Amino acid sequence: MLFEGTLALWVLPIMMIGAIIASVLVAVIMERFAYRPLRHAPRLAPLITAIGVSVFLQEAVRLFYPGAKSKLPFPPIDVVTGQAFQIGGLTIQRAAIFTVAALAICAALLWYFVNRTKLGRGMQAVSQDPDTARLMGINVDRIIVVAFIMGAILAAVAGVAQGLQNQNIDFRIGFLAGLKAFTAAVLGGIGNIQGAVLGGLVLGVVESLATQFIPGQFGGSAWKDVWAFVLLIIVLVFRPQGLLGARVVDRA
Amino acid sequence: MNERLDALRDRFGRLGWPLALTGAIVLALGTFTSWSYVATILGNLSVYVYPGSVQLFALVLAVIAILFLLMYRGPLHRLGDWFKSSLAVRSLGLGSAVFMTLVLLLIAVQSGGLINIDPGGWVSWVGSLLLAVGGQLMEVRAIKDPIYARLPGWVEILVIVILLALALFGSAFALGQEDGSVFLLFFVALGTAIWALASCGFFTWIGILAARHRRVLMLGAFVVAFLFPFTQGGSDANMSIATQVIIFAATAMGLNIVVGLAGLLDLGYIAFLGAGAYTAAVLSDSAFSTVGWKPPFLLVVLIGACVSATLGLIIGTPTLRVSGDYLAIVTLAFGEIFRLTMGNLDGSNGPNLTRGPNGIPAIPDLVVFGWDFGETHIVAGIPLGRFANYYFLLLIFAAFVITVFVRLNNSRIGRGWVAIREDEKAAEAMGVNVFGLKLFAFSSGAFLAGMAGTVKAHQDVSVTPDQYVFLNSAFLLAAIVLGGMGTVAGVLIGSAILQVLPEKLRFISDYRLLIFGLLLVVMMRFRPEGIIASQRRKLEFHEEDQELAARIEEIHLEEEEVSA
Repeated sequence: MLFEGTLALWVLPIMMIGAIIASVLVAVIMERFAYRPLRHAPRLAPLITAIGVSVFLQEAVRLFYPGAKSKLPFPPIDVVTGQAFQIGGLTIQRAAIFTVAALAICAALLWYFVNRTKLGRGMQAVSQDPDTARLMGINVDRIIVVAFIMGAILAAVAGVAQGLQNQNIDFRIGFLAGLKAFTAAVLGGIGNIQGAVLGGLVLGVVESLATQFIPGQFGGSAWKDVWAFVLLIIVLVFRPQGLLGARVVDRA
Repeated sequence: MNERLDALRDRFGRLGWPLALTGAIVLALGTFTSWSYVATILGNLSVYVYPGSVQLFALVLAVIAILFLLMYRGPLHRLGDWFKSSLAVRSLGLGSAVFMTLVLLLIAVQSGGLINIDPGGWVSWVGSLLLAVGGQLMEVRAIKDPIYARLPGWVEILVIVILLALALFGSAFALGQEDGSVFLLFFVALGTAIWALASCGFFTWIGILAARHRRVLMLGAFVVAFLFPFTQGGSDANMSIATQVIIFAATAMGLNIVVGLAGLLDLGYIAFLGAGAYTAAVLSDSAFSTVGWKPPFLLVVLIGACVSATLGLIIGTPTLRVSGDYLAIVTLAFGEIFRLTMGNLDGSNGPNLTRGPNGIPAIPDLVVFGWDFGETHIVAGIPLGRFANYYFLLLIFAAFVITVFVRLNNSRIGRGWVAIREDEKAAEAMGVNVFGLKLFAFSSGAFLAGMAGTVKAHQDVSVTPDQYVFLNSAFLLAAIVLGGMGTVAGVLIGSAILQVLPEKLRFISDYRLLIFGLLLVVMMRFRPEGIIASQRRKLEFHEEDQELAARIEEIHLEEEEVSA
């Protein structure tokens, strides 16, 4: 709305930063008021809170974001959403290139953050054993906030990428995206960045192949999501640690 | 905050009682005068001499407050030995202050200005504030513990009967309110009264009574529920809400086995209700049903329940190996698979079984043993419409579900579930068949939901995939969380609140889901054990509270004693 009619590339970084700021703010606020008080509650409590928060956020967008009760067109950016490339007989959408590039950059940065920085290593320590981590002088509360922030940043980038790709958004897109994200993470192996990337790619390829190659009536695109979730269940049964994961950690 | 309050109590404690009594009397007197200049708001509040409409709620609150004050000091002081009357007065004070403020705000908003509030309204408002302040200043005085209070048996049964009768007429009255704001005020007043009774220890005593006269209570509750349609004078509008409540409650009770007893978070539970409903729909006489076989309804109920339970087994066998967050997401995915599949089996994307997104409409009303559920029957001079018929049928179902729930809870199986919920590894080490019991919880919950689904299909007339979205699973879960996990009464109350409030408070309809989401977060934050907490749950959520543990043990021992 602010840059109505602009198709120039310089809008993209502003868009990204805006998206990141908005979702980081939401993440920090909800961590502080909804999740932190439940840190030592039985495991059912934060799960139920998560459902409440997701319903609340969805509805808040529907009610208070102008025009969000129906689908909204996503602002196009010429370099990213313009005419598709033709290479030989292949058609490659510009948005797809952008998405893959964003994935590569984010994955690399996240890997560096988790494995090479002090904060990232602290995060690994907290995830393995919060009490011991605290004894080692790690500020567990701060680490958890940082984890929420990182998640929010990545989700914001993914959201912008999805908007550019689909060219429209609505307040419900998060539900399916979240479910698929979990599927991809389980597929690759929870707690494993390479795994998550691989899982996401495999999930996408399996979905497309399933709609193409499953014969008869159960093929078509109507069954795409069904096959994705069936894949999730199959993975959990036969390889609960995921494709790249080591032994699965019991999250009970 | 609390220390400052204690210091104030030390200094001005003597003033508390007279202040509160004055407040209650002023509040009561105010209700006999006009509150509003405009006669069309909140019923009619512009009459002098006698109270009307919502003024009656305020009057009742004031009278209860006066009774408690007289228990604190005065003619009823011997009753005050048993109950913490000052805590009740505190709750009543805060509640009635909120109530009066809400009334004045509603008058001001609906009539277009504070100017339309008559002096009587301000008088009652000041009274409620005095009551609130006075109540805060009163010291706690209770010498005896209500759990040891004993009355002759017939008096105790009489108390139960009176409470049940109050519940019957209260719910009939509440459902009869057409005006959303009057309903809201009734809800606030009722909540205040219940809160007051809870904080003075009255319900702890009732708990002991219930333990001693369990059969009387169960039978009485059933009779009250049975009599409810007769209070409606043939009106189907409220019966429709009541049937919704019962279907919802019966389904939630099934989910309560899975979540509340076994501690498995199932986010796709609505699919089992859907499986039952779809089974009933395709086997019904509907012109759109896709299966030629038309078995009698009782058989359909069994088939629907079994289909649902089989689905539960199919989904449970692989997924119950994972736990916690994983299980929640997998069941969520299963719910989505069910919805998408029902939407796809329309003949072009798959075999034609469910007619896809259009669903199966025009499901005829049930006829069981010659009783046509679609027609109005006249019993004892009172007409009972279509929804009342379904209400009776559903009541039998609900009674069955509750019996199953209670029986399972008090059995070896139920204790196994508790063990699994609290520590799976320890349970396994003790020889509990963890996987088998989890699977049993899953499939028995599915069985009950499937049963409820078969009636729902006929009651709703049509079955479509969009009735079985994730949000409805979340609603079921919310009913349990709100009411109290693992309890019967809690789930009933939670279901009633979640179904009735949105029906009656139409003006919040757009914000319904927003409030719902917020409610879940706030409940988990401040009262994770729910409105009616099972004692064991309460301890699970407040592990470090030694005082609470001792108290719960005391109550539990007393309950064991009286029921033996």
